[in-house]
Amino acid sequence: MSHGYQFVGWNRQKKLYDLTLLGAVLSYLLLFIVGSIVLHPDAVIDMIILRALGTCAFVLLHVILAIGPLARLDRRWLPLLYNRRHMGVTMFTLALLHGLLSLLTYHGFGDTHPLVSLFTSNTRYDSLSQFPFQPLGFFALILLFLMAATSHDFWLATLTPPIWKTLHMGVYVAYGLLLGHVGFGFLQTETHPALFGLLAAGCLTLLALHLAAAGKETKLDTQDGFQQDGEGYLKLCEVLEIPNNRGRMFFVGGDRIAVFRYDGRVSAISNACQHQNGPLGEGRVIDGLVTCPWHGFQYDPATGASPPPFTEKVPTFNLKVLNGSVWVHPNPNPPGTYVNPGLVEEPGHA
Amino acid sequence: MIGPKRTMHRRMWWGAAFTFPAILILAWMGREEGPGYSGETLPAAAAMKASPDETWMFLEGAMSGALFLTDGGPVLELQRIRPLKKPDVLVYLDHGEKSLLLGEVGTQPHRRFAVPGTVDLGGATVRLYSLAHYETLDTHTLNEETP
Repeated sequence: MSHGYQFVGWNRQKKLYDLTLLGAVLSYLLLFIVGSIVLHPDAVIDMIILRALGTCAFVLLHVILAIGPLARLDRRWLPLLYNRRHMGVTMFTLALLHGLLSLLTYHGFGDTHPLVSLFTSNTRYDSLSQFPFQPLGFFALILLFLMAATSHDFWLATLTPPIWKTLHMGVYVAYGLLLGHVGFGFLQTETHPALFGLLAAGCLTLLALHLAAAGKETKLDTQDGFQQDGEGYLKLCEVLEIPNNRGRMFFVGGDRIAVFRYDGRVSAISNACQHQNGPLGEGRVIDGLVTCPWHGFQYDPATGASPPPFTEKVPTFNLKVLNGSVWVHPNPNPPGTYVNPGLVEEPGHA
Repeated sequence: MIGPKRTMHRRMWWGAAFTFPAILILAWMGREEGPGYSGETLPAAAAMKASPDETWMFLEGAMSGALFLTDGGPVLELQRIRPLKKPDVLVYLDHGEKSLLLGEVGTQPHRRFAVPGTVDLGGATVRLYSLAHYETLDTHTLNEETP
């Protein structure tokens, strides 16, 4: 969180996550290289390593892009989201090695500078089968570099979450470029239909997941017709519709708020975590603090402030409970403003 | 307020829902078109302006080479006649003091390489370079009269 500076705040889960990731990547590379040598004994080892690195990075990119929508559709995928940035940096490292090896292999033996050769050796932009696919990979690598270089929380705090997130949406552009890089490159020479089928299946799966998640999110963001009282409060739901120590999200006043029920009380805060704008309403109340489901940032539900020594604050909303119903004023208070929680009579709660 | 960002994110994916399949379809069309690899017809066969005036052999008859002139410019065709022991070969065109990478010959039987129109082909040399051995395997110098 915001207190002090640590390059990586290691904990058991992060170590386990990274070890699993490293194990999976090394296993893939080993299997690919050994399998290729066995199946194609005449193949050049440089080519095998080059393809092992490239395919590993591309598979990993698919996994990275699938985690977000999977976590939105089913909470059981949330643990994968926790350390996704390390996965992204790993993917970039593999892609960089693939790029450097490709540059050396294909452009390092002429008298033209390899980077110049990359853009001048093939200019058949009018051909589908001979389309210059290497520059597509180069530009994707530049985007991935920008994201990997700014993946640390230092840059997140410096750039602010909205700018940081916009920058990191570049991963979708990078994916499109890589789709072209693979489709117009590797798959033009390796013509087995199964390979093309794999690429299409990966792409369509990602699209389906993201559109399904978007559909679910859109449903939430099109809520309207809340009953309004004379003071401007909106009736959002019944108290008992909110599970104990959990929250519910509502779309009010053009953005989302999260309403939590805990210890016989109800409070409303902004739904966006200050860290990466994670959905606080999908989090839990642990030890009296709202805990973001993405990276565990915590906030006092009554003040919207992180517990000392941390300094993150989110806006709070005035709230009242009348006859078992939750009423929230749609205008946010400044971040960290204390609001009296609504008191509820819960079954079995004194 | 991050509502607008969520909307932007969703719109990006709706855009991707049309863009990504379009890329896949174009890549598939490229495979079907296969001018660089099928070797049966030139990419612009109807526009072929001149047949090759000669066909030459590389690697002791393992591969033949020919130069075509098309509306789109010169095209170098390499055709594998028998399997290469080490199939990954880079193809360079040395002209003047410069060396231009045309592409790679892998396991596929035919490859065609477009030669940039700016290259002076007269006296240029086609050079096959082995990735496995890090050495030039074979060369062929084009006629001085080659346009």
